[in-house]
Amino acid sequence: MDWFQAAAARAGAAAVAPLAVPAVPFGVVFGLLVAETPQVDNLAGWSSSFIIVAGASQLAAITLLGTGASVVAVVTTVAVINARHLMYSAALSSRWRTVPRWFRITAPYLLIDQVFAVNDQLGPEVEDDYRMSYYAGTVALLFPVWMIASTVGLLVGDAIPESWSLDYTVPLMFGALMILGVSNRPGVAAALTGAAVAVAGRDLPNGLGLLLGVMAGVLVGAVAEEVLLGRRDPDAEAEA
Amino acid sequence: MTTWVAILLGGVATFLLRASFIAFLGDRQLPERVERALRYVGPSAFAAIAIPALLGDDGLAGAITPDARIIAALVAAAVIWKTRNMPATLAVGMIGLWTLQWAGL
Repeated sequence: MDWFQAAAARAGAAAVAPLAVPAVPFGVVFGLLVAETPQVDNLAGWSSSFIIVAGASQLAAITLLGTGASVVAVVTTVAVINARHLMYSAALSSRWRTVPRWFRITAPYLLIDQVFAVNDQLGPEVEDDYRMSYYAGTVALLFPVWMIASTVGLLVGDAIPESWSLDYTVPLMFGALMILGVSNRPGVAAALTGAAVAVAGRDLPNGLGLLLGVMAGVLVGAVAEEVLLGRRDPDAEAEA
Repeated sequence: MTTWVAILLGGVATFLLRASFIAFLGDRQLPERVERALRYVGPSAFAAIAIPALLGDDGLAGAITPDARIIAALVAAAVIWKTRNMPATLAVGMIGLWTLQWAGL
């Protein structure tokens, strides 16, 4: 643990703390779905919170299993919904190149959306020990929150009135992350494209609309950067 | 049994996707063009998650006839844009939603 910096871990936990709030109703909604899906064994469904650790794909998996879908259909859906994590991984990889291998193999297990959002903010100048400790701090806060919320949802989820609309915090948070992540005009183009394609493709099977939205957004962002900003560093515009 | 197998395989698939570049492919330098494109993963992904969820089942038609969820989201968007403060944004969004629903929207 000679790499561990408590101050960095605290900073990571503090950064992800507001993003952990929507994980509570999301986890409760998920746990409740497991409880209310008689075709799915409660322990198995709940276990997906630490085996898959990706809420949207877990919701889809339990819903499918409730309809008697095949293993292939469920796993395909989970993989398509979570394919954006491959792009998260690629986006972080250049800054993680010098991080010790054991950490690079274990840490991605908990690379949840919010974890990516926060750790993607650390620039290339940050030292490895700080980067690892900061990441550890983010998952040390978020993952237990997710597990506890899933458990509460499974056990007493139906005690929370639907009229509170607590699940609304989830799109609210992702919408806010979208705005925080847009720092220049190509970023606006990327976000608009991602949203438009995902909305247009929302009825596609296996959550394919989400994946196509992310891919289209990245592509349009990159093209817009070349067209609008030439080959200049886009951060130059953001700072101007 | 089907449930356990599906969840275990789903977990393996998700881990491999997350570990892909960080753990296994990260040693090689990505082309500079790809590196720059990857800066747009965040806004693209978060937009693709948030906007369909906000619009609901009606899709774009839902945006033309705004309901409480969309109006509260627009207010929250203004808050995050101006303050960059996530807790304040979530609070304003939720209070806005409850107020609008209480008002009968």
